[in-house]
Amino acid sequence: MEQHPPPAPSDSAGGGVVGGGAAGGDALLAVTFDLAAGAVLFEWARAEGGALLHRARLGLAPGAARFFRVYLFELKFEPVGIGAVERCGATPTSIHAMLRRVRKATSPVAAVRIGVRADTALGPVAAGAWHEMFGLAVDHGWKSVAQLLAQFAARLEPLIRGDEGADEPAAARAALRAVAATQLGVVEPAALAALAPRGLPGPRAQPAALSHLELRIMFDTIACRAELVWRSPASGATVATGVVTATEAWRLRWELHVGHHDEPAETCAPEPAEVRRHFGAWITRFRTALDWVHIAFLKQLPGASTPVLKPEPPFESNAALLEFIDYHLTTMARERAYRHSPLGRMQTRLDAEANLESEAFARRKQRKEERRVAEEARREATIARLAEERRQREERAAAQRAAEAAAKAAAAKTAASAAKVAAPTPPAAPRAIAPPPPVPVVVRAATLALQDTVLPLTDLRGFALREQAARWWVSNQSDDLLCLPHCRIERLEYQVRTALRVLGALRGRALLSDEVGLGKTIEAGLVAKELFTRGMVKRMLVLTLPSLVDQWAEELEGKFALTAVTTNGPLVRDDPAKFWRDHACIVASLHTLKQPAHLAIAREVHWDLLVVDEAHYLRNRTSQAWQAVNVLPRQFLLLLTATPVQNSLEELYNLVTLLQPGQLPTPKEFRARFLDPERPRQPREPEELRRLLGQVMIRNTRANAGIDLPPRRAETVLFAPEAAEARFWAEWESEFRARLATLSASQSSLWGRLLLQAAGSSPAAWRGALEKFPDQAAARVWRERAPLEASWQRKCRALLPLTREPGGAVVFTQFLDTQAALAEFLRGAGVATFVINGGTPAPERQPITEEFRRRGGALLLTHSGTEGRNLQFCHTLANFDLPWNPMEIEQRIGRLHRLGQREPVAIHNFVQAGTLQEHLLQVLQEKLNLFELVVGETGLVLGERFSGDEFEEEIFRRWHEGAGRVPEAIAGFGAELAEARARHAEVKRLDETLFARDFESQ
Amino acid sequence: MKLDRLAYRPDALLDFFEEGLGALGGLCARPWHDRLEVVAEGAAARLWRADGELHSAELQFVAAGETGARDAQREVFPGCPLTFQLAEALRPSPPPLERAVLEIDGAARPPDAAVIERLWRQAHPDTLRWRLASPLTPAFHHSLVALVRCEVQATDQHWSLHRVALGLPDGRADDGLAREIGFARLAAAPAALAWPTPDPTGWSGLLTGAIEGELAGELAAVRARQEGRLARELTRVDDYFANYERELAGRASRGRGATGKFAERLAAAKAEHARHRADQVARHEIVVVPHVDALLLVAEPAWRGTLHIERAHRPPAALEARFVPRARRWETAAEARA
Repeated sequence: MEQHPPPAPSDSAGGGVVGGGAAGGDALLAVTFDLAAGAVLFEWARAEGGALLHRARLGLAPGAARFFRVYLFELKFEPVGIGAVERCGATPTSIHAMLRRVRKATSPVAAVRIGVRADTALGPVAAGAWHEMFGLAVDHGWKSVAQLLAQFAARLEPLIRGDEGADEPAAARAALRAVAATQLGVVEPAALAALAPRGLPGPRAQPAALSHLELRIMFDTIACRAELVWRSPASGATVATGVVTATEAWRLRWELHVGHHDEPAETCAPEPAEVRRHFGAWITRFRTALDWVHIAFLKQLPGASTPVLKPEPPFESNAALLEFIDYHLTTMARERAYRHSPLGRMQTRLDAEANLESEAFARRKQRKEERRVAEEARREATIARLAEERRQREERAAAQRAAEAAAKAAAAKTAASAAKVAAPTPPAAPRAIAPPPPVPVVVRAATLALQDTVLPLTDLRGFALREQAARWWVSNQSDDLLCLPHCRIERLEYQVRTALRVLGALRGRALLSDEVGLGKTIEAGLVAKELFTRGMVKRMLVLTLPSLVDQWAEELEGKFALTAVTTNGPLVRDDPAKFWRDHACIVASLHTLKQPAHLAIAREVHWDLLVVDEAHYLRNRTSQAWQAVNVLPRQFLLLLTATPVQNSLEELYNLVTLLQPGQLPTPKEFRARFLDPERPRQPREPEELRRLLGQVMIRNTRANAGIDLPPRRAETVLFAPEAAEARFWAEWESEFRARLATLSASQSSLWGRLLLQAAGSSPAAWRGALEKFPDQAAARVWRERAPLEASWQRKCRALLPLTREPGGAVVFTQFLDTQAALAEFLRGAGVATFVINGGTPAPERQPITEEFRRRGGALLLTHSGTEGRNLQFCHTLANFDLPWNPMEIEQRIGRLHRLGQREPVAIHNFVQAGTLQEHLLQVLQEKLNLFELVVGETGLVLGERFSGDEFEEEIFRRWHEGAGRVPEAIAGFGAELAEARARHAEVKRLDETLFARDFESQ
Repeated sequence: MKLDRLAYRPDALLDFFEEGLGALGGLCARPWHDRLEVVAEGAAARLWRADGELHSAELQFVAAGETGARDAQREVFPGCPLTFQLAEALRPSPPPLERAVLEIDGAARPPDAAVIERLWRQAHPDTLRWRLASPLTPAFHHSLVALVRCEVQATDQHWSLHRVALGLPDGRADDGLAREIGFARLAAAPAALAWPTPDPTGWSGLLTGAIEGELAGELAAVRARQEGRLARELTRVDDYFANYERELAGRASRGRGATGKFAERLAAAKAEHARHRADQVARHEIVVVPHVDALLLVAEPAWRGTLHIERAHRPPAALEARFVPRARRWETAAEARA
């Protein structure tokens, strides 16, 4: 059976030359040089499916051998296609014209493949097999066909022209075989011998082309050299070999070997003129037939282990060839020089890495796609299962209704026959679907408080100006937030987008679940301020934890100019009714609201905007907090939480139900559909749940908000006390513990925490604290005995290198005495020292900060001096002492590690070896991972268990009760913190599973 | 007549600022095509300083489409506070009731009787006989022109501006006057001119009615949107509670809870359902709040006379009527009552 060429090439070694696109059409053209028949076959096939569209055969035209003939070739279509005949002469122009006509008449093709089929083996072509010579894109393909046919004509014409008795088929076979052999790089003397003259006189006895040499050029792009081989077409013997090598010095070296003789090498600059000169000399010397130039490139394709030899299609004219040669030789020289340069060497290395990276990316992409497909299949299966279940339910219900109706009808029939007078029972009416009530439209009466005037106007300019003002006022309403100019915040696009989305698509009811530290408070404030600005809100209530009430009020006032009354003020106790009813903006604690007396009043007020901060406290639907919020009448509602799910998805359900009842199905259906009882935090259908949540929830992450802070690096600066000092501290702690036992519990806790922290700070702070200690006699003795100066000096000296860091160092301390002593030391050591504490007047703080920014050195801050300072220009922080409250440490770090910080932040914690501070630092660092948590996350890890002073209390309790085994007691505490951190990590993982995407503000 | 919104054009806004600040007592100069130097004190300075102390600033009018951080104190851009503030400063509160007398060409001589009869008959096609019972005497017709900003509060908020003209005392809409007032020439008020007594309550009702008419089309679209949203919300709420009630009933039928407890829960669910429905309905209410920015009482020349009219199926009557040459229409007391 005849073997057909493949209609749709797919494995072209030419790097997908034809596989790429169907820009020209959807058909493929295969052109076969049928050497046995001495004809060229054209086959058009559909790209998809390979169905044959047209088929044509190009052979000799009748009378082709006549001296005065018109046509040489005839292209005859088979009736499957267009059934026409096209003819052409021997000249390239005529051949081109014929192919153009054919191209117009047939289907547009996307690619052309040119191959050869031989009856006997010819070089790489097996007998009877189809072998591809070129796989080409469409335009280039047609051109190549034309050129090959022109070569065919050129070889054929001298053999037959004027010889009417010539064996035309044999001549055609010979000419075609010669063309194919040339293209395949096969020297076949037999084929060339067949081209020998048939007794014809004159120049036709020896074809003009044969008097020239054949040139084969191979550009080795790997070694940056070109090899030129001249061969005699008659004998196939190599006449000469030229090698052009690009050197590392950006030169071209021309070497020529003629026979067994090497000629002296020449070099030239890689300029087109030079290249043409050398190359022109060679082709003139070796009488090269330009239509017999074969060019190939040896390339290393990405991902391929061996180089690939890729042939180039033939050229149309000398000019094109010369341009081609000089372009490629000069490019090769440039490439070689570049590769040798440092940049090139670097790029070579990088290319390898990039290739690896690219491959890894491709693999990742493939895996992701596989996962997506699997997920999609699962989802489809779930949808189908649910649909099937629903259908079954409906069928069951219909059957049940039919049975009930039948039973009722039977009962009615029985009753009717028994009573004979029974009235017909009306059929049960289907449940009426109440039409939605009409939307009420209230047109308020225009308020006409006017001031009368007496004198009539003389012109209407004033009126026109007022009209103009009103028009601009109305026209000035924009799609952006109107409130922004009134807010004292840094404009962050994701926050503005969030506010716009809440006001727009979510229509004022949203669950804001940004990651910690992205400013949910700011977003809620923006929404509130905008609603106030637009007059859509007259009354607002913010509900939050008691510890955050004042902070909320401060932020609303400071950043949004919204003055709020709070439940921390006296009014809520003095006159609760007035408190809840008479204020436009209230910040209240959830705990206060829950109290029945307050709730009874608050639920009578219509709140235009209700904001619930830390809304995860509403996760339980049976809790008082949830119930209390649920009964408050409200127009707009914002729920703020970074962790909407902590223990079970039902918590999320409860929050969403509070926001939009009905957004999620009933509890039972929700459980059945989304909850896996064995893994209550993992949704069964995350995609579907995400879709539903996307309609009420916004979650910005650091990634989508474009906030990518550099890392923090914590380092412990540990200094060992001298033996005498260590002994003193051990004795002092035991004595101090004994003295504390004589005090009341609250006094004991207060003095214990104060003195222990002061002892970890500085001798000055410790002495200062001791001055007010109730047992002054003991305090005096301790002060006199304490040999503390040596370790103080060591601690201060350890700080000096940090102050010389670029940008200086910010040094935090809890105690004013420490700050003063440290400032004295640093100034004595010649360090530029700047001090800000609670006593520094507000207007002076910024200039001091600016001066520090300019000069570097050390900026010494206390807690009071920290507030409102943005120190992201500096990246070295020293905790000269360690507060026992992790939140305070986080606030310190947050001053530097914030938006705008470009360098990794180095945190240096100064502690004395063997002290409580060292154990505490170990716990904070290793168990709580405090120094690597994101700002705001510490509070979430610590949760309600250790908020505010409770952490400090716990530390003190463990120190107090753990006499002689303080390290163990603190370590026990660390274990608890580690558990809390693990819990938080799990919640975070769940959040990422559920809310990894789809909830951004845009 | 609804006034279209103005597209943001820095040059037009600059003109407005220059004129507006000048009206408030500020001194303005244009150093460049998009800059305005302002020296202001008192009312004009209050745009920047609450105390109204002397303030000087160079305002820059930002080109449309310009992005980047804006300085709200010295830059004018779409949605900027300064524009709002200036517009509000130019709007006295409460608005003054200003008076103006229109100068109408050709109003000095009485209209041709044939013409006015024809105009009467056009307006009252059922008139059988028409006769001028007394000669026409010069008089004045009064109208109220108001600028009203309408705030439509739906789920979102819309603003529109309307110039409304109403004939007094009947409140008949006078669209011609509303259209032409911007081009009107004013005349000196004659000594004999008697202005109508201001009637805020009555005029408020007239204006509200006129605004309702003006906004009808706009409100229909808003209302359709709101109703669609409300229907969706209510369906969601209803489905939720219907499912919940079914679940409760299912549990009760399986005998897990006492009947009393079930009834209690059901009642609670129904109450909650009703509350959520009411909440949604209230949430979707559309409120239209008109804000009157300017009021102008207009007097214009008219001709008063007594008409003897016979209409089909009505007894002949003598009517006191006024012919308004500008509007080319008759005003009668009877129509006012209608």
